[in-house]
Parts: sequence; structure tokens; C-alpha cells
Amino acid sequence: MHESTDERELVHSARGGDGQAFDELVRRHQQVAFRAAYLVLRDAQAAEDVAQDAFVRAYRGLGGFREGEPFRPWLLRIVSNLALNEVRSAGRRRGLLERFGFAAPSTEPAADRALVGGETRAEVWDAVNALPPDDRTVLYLRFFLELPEKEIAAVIGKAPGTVKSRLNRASGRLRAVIDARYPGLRPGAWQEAADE
Amino acid sequence: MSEGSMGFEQELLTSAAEGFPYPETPDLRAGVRLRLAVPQAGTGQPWLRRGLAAAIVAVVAVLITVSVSREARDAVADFLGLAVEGEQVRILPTPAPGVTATPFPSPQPLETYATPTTLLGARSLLEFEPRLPAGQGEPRGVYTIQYIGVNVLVLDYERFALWEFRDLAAEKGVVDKSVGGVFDGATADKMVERVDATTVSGRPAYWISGGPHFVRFIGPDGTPVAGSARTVERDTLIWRGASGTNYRLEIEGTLDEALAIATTLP
Repeated sequence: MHESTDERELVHSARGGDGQAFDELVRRHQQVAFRAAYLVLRDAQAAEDVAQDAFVRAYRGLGGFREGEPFRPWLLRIVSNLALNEVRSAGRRRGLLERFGFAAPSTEPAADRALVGGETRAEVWDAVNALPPDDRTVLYLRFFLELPEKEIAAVIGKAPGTVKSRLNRASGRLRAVIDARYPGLRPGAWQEAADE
Repeated sequence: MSEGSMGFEQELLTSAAEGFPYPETPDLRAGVRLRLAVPQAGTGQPWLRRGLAAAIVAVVAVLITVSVSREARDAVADFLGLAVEGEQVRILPTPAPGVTATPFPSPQPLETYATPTTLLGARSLLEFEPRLPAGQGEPRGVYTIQYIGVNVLVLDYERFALWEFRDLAAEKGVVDKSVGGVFDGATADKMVERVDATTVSGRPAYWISGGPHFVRFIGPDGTPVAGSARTVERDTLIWRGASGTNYRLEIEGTLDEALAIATTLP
């Protein structure tokens, strides 16, 4: 299918049961879907699973999708919800296992932690993941996936005018987490490190 | 949000995001197509709950397995002598004159004892990655069966059913606890005609052919798992793959056809 085929045409065809058209939608959006899931889940296999599931749900939900609307924010909303649900479920599973003495306390996937590389980057990632889900989502969408505010609004289901305040609120909470848990990331700490 | 108004935390985010080392994005299309092709689970959430329950029970099963499984397995294997890892075959004796053969369970449709799910649902339950044979298209049904906390996967195709199972402990180098085909003290007046030793990708395998046979699972303590006995009318290839997964390929077809399917599995 040609790269220039309009996305609205693809969505329209997919709604009519055209598997090839949906295949093309998957191809075009799989990277952003996978990355959005990965940022939350911090595990490549789990991210692949959630991203696939999100596409399946999107396909099955095409009947309720408003034609003419952009596909990406709608998809990312599904991805985001599934990823956060998975984090919550994994937390509950882990909690129960810990209660019965079968699992070590929560740790992030070591391999992916190592993959991040760079202590600062890894700590920023840790700090963002310590935030409430809504804050985490809005920061990932804006800074990591570099979505415009209008699209972020569509993903989180809020009016475009509220995105800036959401970002500010999330940033403020991130600052508090950094102050409390990662003081080495504060600007003063950089200067101290540079002076040494 | 202008650059000038950025707080330090936003600068940190921008810096951390730049060149963020994401894993390579996998091509999701085949997996999405596959998931769309298999039947939907009833709702999106129950499999998560089943996954939660299975996780707890399975961990308990591992602890038990570590202590007794090897001994139980060895005892069964010594008695039978005909086995691949995780599965044994026994030729039952014919009954003495005037003695009625042991009644075996009537063949039952898969739906009566297995739970339909999706590949996604199965993956959430299983402690191993489910494998699909290459070149066979999508299964018409995906099922799981839980035996004493261990989940077995069944992929149902038109001409064959592929059973996959693996003990959690197998990944830790502990022997598998699931054993099939053993009916102590039983007799039969109709049985498989042949059990042939063969190989799948160089690994030991058995081809059971020519008539119905009987299967049940044995728990880590060496006792049969209640409700696991069933009669299999299709010819069957059994082996353990290099991945550590045990397979039972129950097929309406020849050994060559079974091997062609089996060799695509890890």
C-alpha cells in the first residue's frame, strides 16, 4: 500500500473489514505504540504484548471510532490505558506473591535498566515512573514521544487548554520526587559535581 | 511551553528523552493478525484474574516439584522404560480370558474439559512462550487446561491438536512433572497397534499409531491428576523440544506429516 494513502482512507477501509488497510495502519503506528508501552512497562516483551493488544482492541473498536479524527491519539489512549492496567495488575500479583513469601520485593527489569545507559537518564526514568499514572503519561507523551499539546489532549481525553496545566502539575510533582529521592539530579548537584 | 520557561526538571526530561535507547520496535503486524484471527475471550479482564490465581498456585507447585519431582519421575521411568522427557508410554496388557477390559473414558470434545481463550490470554497464564507451528495458519481455537496449578496449552487446528506444557521448574533445571499414558493395573482390549521410536530435530520422540490410546497426567507426588484421563483417537507424536516444552501432536495424518509440523517447533 502506498505511503501516501490517506490515513482516513485506511481507517475507512479497515472499518469495512479490509485487513490489508489495517495492516498498513499497524505498520505506520507500531513504533509509537511500542515505545509508549515500553516507557511505562520498562520491558520490551511486555511492551510488544500490550502494543499488539492495543491494535487488536483498536480494530475491534473501529465501529465506534469517529471517522475523520486522527488515528494516532486514539490508539495511544488505548496503549496508555492497557500499559497502566498491566502495571497495576503486575503490582497486585507481586503484592500477593510477596504476602505469601514467594517473590522478592518489586524490582525493575534489570536488563532494560541496563539498556537505558547513563546514570542520569536512568534516574530521570525512575523518577518519572514514581509519579501517579496521569502525570507519568503526560510527561512521556510530551517529552519522550514529542506529541503536540493538541494531540496530548486527545490522548488523555481532556480539553487542549488543560494540557499545559497538566504538564506543569506533573513537572512540579517530578521536581518533588527528584528533591526527595534523586537529589543528585538537581542543578546545584550538577554544579557541585562539575566543581569537583 | 517555551524554552525560557522550562524548569530544570523539564530540561532533564528533554535531555533524558534525547536519543533514548528504545529497544528495536518489533514488527507487530503478524502478531496482530494472529490475535484477530483467534476467537475472542469472553471479556478483556477475566484472563487477568485467572493469571493472578495461576501465578500463585504455580509457584506453590514449583516448591513441591523441587523436592519430589525427580524421584517420582525416575520411579515411573524405571518402571516403564519407554519415555521421552516428561512423558512416558505404556503398552497395557490384554485382559486374561473371562476378564473384562478396564473401561476407559469415552473421547470427549475439547470444549468439554478445556477453557477457550486467546493467544494473549494463554500467554498471560503460561509460564512459557506458546509456540505456533509454522506454515499451518492460525489455530481455529486456543485452549488452556489447568492441572494442579500448571497450565497446559492446546492449539486446535482442523486436522490436528497441538498440546504444549512445561513445568515452571523446567526452566530452573528441574525435571518436568507431567507424565502421560500410564494406567497402573489396567488392561485393554483395544489399543494402539504401534509405538515407534523416532526423532524430531534430533531429539527422541515416539509415534503412537493405529488405534486409540489413553493419556493422563501425573502430579509431582507421582499420583494421577484427577480429571486428566482422556482417550485419544488420533495418532500422536510426542517429544520434548529443545526449548524445554513438551509437545503432543495429535493428528489425522501420517508420521511424515506430523514430523513436518513438529520440526517447525523449537
